[in-house]
Amino acid sequence: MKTIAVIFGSRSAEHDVSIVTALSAVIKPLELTKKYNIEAVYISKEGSWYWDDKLKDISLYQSGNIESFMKKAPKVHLLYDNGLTLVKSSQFAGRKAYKKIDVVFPATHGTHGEDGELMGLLEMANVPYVGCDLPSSAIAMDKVTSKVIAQSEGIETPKYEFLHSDTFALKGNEIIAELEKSLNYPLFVKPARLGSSIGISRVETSRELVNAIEVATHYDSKVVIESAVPNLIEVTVPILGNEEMMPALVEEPISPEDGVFDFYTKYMNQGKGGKKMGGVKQGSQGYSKLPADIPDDLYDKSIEVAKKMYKAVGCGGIARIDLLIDSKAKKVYFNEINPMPGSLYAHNWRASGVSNVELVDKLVDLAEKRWSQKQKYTTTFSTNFLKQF
Amino acid sequence: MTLKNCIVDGLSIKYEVLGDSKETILMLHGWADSHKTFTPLVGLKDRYCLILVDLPGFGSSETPKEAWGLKEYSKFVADFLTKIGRKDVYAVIGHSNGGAIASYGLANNILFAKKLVLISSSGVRDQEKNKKKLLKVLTKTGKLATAWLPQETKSKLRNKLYENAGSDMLAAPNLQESFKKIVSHDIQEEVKKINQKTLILYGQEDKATPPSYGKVFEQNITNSSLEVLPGAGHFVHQELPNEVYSKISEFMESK
Repeated sequence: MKTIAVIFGSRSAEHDVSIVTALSAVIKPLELTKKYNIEAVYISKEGSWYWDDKLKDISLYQSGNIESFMKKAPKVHLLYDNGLTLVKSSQFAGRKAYKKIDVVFPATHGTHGEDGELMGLLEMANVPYVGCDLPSSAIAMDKVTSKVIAQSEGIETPKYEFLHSDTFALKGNEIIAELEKSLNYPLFVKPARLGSSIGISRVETSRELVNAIEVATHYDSKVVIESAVPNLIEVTVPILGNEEMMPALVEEPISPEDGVFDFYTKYMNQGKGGKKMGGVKQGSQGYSKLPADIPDDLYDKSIEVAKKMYKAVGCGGIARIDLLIDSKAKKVYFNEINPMPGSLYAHNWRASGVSNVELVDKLVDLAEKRWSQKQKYTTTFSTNFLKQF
Repeated sequence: MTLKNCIVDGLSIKYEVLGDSKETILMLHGWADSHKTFTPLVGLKDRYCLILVDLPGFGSSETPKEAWGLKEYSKFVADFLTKIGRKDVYAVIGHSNGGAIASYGLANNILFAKKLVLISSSGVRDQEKNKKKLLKVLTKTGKLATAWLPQETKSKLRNKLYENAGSDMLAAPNLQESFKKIVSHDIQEEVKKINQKTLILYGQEDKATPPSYGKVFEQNITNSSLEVLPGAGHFVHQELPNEVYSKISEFMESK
């Protein structure tokens, strides 16, 4: 039986969201396949690593008992030996427990994980892992870099500018004037490398713009400011696959009045809005139409743009591409990519005919295939360089 | 409803602004509570602009990196109001610890307003002394008596002990140092400097801040009046929403 390590948590504002993704959408379905032995690896908010079966139980985190667990539990060592082995003290006569890992399933969101950092560790270990690789994760997590890629592929993006917190601190007023010259209100201000709507604001005046940049720079040193798309319909397209791509249904989240889902609306009120909205089908966030209620041509264009972006960024395994549609001009703009969609967007895959169990099984298979492919390339070659030295 | 967001003193702060009147009422919630505590009073927005803020460490706002007392909290409130461009407010309504922050701020000219409403306000510490002493003794003896127990059982027992001693500390474990700082600060003398017209409301059955605290505030604040509402406890504005609402409305309209 193959052993899969599911890694989750980490030093991220989306730490708690990651616990839910790992426990409900990854570990449980993987166990249901009865094909794998699952090891839960939890990274605390402070960055300590733990490996224990107890970490598979959601009540550990809900009750706050995770704190006392961490006080007692041994931390994990990672052993790199052309592969990855988890090592910890077994607390029995000074012996150590070892577990060789066949595949890693990263289930982190946001910083120090989904942004490519974790994938870097796994690349170094030369272990197969699920989802986007290091470069594609890093590109996807940066809203500016991913827009540059989109433009280079001829995919439209909303008009945008970006700035660094240091520059803003130095010449705030000047920058506001420049932004107002090149972009028209209403504008969206976002931390460039954060997900889950944290620190995002919609602004209509200079005063609001200054405040929004201050809020965004509280979370990230790089901030993107972009024009709002008129006659907006937001859609999102989850995609599965490596070279061969399989899109799920185009999903339409329903925006609140001010156009921004904040973290709390998105994750804390799940279902409430959905219930109130009568005929609207509930997505994972409780606020979405599945499939999106848009004309066929825009539906097809959305899938086409999403696939093009997935390929251009070099995504693998799974990712979700967010798009913005101007329904009158019939234009589809690229917004952003999420390399690890919250709970894998399992609700959408289910509606698309892929169960959560099939989904994780397929992802493990894709991870192994990509890894095998990579092994074919030569990474070392002999020289007499050292002898000449 | 998406909350507004701003950065004050390096902390991300969430707040709500309701109503568009020029006359502003600032509402400060109590310990381990959030701006939502004032939901029964939001009807005031038809006549006033209401500012409801999640104080640092509570609701959706970030936690201060060091221990904050009443001084730091009231300075924060002043900085927050400056940040959102509402430095002078018509009135401040404070519940429990929010009342203590408002009183401290107004008494020391950190905050400025024409009127003050104290709902089940804390800040009078004398009568808590005995309880605190009890807590201290219990905690100490508790530590000794449980020294031989495993860590988990020990902390469970200690939690029980704290609960029995009536401590609010556990409601916000990451703010224990701030809590200690606040409960050791008695403001009975300082409130004598408050010259704003003040309405003081207490629930007759309030155990956390008994109506006797209200008496102290009434005696020490020159232009104040105390009303004790029968049948209500510490969350009098939630337990008797209509009565509290109409008393505050009337007070706001009065000259």
